[in-house]
Amino acid sequence: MQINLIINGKESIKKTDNNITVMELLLELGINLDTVIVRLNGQLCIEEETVNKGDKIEIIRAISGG
Amino acid sequence: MFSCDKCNERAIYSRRYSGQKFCEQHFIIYFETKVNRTIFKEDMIKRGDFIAVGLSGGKDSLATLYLLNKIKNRLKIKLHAIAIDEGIKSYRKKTLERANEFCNSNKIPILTVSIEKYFGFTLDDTVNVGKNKACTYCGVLRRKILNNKSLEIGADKLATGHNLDDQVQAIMMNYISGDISRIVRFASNTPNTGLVRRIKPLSEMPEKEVAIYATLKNLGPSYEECPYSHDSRRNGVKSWLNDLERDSPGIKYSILQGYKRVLIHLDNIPSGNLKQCKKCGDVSSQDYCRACSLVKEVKLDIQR
Repeated sequence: MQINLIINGKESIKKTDNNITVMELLLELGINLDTVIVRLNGQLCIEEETVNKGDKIEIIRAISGG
Repeated sequence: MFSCDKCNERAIYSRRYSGQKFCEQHFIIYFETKVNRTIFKEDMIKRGDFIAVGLSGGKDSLATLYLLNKIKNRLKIKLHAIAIDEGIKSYRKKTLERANEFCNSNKIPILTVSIEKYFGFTLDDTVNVGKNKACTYCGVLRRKILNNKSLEIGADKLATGHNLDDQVQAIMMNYISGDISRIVRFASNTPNTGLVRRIKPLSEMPEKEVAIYATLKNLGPSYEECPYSHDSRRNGVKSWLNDLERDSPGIKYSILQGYKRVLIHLDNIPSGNLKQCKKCGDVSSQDYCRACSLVKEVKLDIQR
């Protein structure tokens, strides 16, 4: 399935497995879940949430730099 | 959809080390209760205190000021923000704007101090002086300005936005370098002449939770990363701790609590003899304070 992915403001389309969770998606992207906050279709979500076809996932870095 | 453990609303945060899930409203209640508990447990604030708050315009310092402003009337405290312009092109301007905006809309006085005006050079000027040392210069010089300006305005305490991640990184870096005096000094709450007492209301809150709180409260912090943060030696420790936390949720909190337990057994270890810096007269463990030594280093390099 395809999802819309936004990582720190950069948009892309990603192909991924059906019924993947946010946690699995982060793992696939090599992103540590403790360093980011994730919005699923505009709303903050927990990492156990399942991602569906066409969903918009926004990953925002939670760590600041000074 | 997953529900909040306390109501049927949609969960927006799962605290992995306890398994609890919170909706927006219950996350805010949990977060504020825990911060307030830390403030009172550590005896950080007394009724009527005048508190200076180091404000960068990032999520941690904005959340700290927001939370202190919430309890301001109840505790009859007075707040004054201090912002520092380090002189980092294309980075600091945005966060300082946000800091000013926040203070203006909440009627909190703010003092902005420029490192260039205070020391005669910008942080950008220090980049070529010492390899990977931008964060050292920034940290030391900022600390000195924050302390001195807090004293100048007559503040009883200086609140900073250090969160659990910052605390644990500092603890591990002190352990790694084997600097026992610094390990003891790091936790010291004893007021010294010339040093304003520092308080860290977010010291038990994971950085991720602070980010979620700042988002839910629309504090609008900038998440842009400082261009020099990659140079930091601390980054390696940070990344290692994040990996540990991912694999063993709650380990950062355990490290902080373990450190507090270890401290009890270090009671007889001196935290270093404090004297006056021969140049500026500020409190220092050496003949010259760290800030004066670094300023000398940078100025010599600029003259060359």
